[in-house]
Amino acid sequence: MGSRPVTGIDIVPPIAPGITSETRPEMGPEARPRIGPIRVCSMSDQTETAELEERSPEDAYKTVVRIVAGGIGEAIDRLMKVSQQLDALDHEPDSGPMLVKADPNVMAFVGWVSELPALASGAAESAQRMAYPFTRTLGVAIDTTAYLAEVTGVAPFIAGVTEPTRKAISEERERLTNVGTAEYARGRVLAVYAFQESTEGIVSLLSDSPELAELVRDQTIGITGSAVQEVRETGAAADGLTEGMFRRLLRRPDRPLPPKVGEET
Amino acid sequence: MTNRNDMHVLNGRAAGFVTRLFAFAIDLVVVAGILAIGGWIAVLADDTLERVGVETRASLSSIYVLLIPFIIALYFVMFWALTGRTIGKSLMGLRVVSSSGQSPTIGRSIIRILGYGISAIVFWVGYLWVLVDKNRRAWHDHMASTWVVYDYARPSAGETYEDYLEQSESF
Repeated sequence: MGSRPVTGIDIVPPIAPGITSETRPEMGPEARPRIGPIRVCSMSDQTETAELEERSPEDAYKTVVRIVAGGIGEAIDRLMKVSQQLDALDHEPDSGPMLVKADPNVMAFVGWVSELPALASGAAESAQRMAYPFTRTLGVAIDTTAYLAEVTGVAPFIAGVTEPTRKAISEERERLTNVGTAEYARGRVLAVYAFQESTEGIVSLLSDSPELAELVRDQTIGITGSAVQEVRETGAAADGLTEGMFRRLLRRPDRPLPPKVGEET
Repeated sequence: MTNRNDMHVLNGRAAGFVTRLFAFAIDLVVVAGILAIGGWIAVLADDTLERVGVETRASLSSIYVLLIPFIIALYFVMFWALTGRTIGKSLMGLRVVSSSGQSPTIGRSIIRILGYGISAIVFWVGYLWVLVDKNRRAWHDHMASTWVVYDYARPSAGETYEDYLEQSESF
């Protein structure tokens, strides 16, 4: 900044990607709203003319805070204005898409927002690029450590020390696997036996208990009897309906009940 | 819809076409099963005879085919004469009775089964006659002087059918 007084911030958002003053003359320099200058001390009605480098560290800190706060306040003001402009746009509901006035400021703001994903992607790429040396260094360090451990005999030493433990763990794992497999097979066999025993138990319970067997039989007969009763009722009702229909076709009067045996009608 | 009390009121009264049709369909299924078992036995017997080298002038299967109409008739006549109800009629709560209320005799039963054929000759008009007959009787019923009545419970031992009907009336 040199000796330039800190009196404000010039924010010049870019136009939308691909839109230049050549492709869209009407979106030319006018489309780049100059937001500002923002007066840093506008909120305190004081004009700040001091320079950062001429101030003490504490004052510089306070100045930076003021600049940031003022910038945020100004940005909010701008956003509110843009929002009001968007609300004021003409919108005809039944005439297709929303008609947007080619307001340079609005279009510039939209273009600026549309660049945010690209900016985020670029930031991520930069972060990755910055992180690469560290990850690479870490990998080299690990490789070097492993090589040194191998060359110096530390690795074989550690391997020799831990070998019995590793072997014991491996054997224990194999043993548990075998035990689990055997238990699984034994469980299946036991399940079959348990099912047979329970079935036999139920059968013997039924055979030893005439009351229970009679109860089951009565229930079965009752269910069957209900079904048969339902079919009979339905059949009798259908008989009445079909006879009534044919009697109406033959212009005979309806009768409440069909005739009894030998009761000639 | 006929409720349970209505069904007791219907006891002993002439049964309609739908219930009789259902009962007949059930009987056809039963008869088909019997014929299938008989056919399987006949084929098995033919195979056995062939294996043991017994030569017959006609196979048992062909004789069995000739006997099929008689087996069907036997099924119906036997049940009508003995109990008044076939398996299908029993399930649907029907009974074949003579005009006097008794189970039909063997003679009436034979006439009735012959009437089955006559009723079926002219596009089953004899069966459909139940729909227009004032007493819900088909042609074969008129020929054999029989009725098909609702019978939702059997008379107890020692009780005549007429006594049973009287009790049903007072239910």
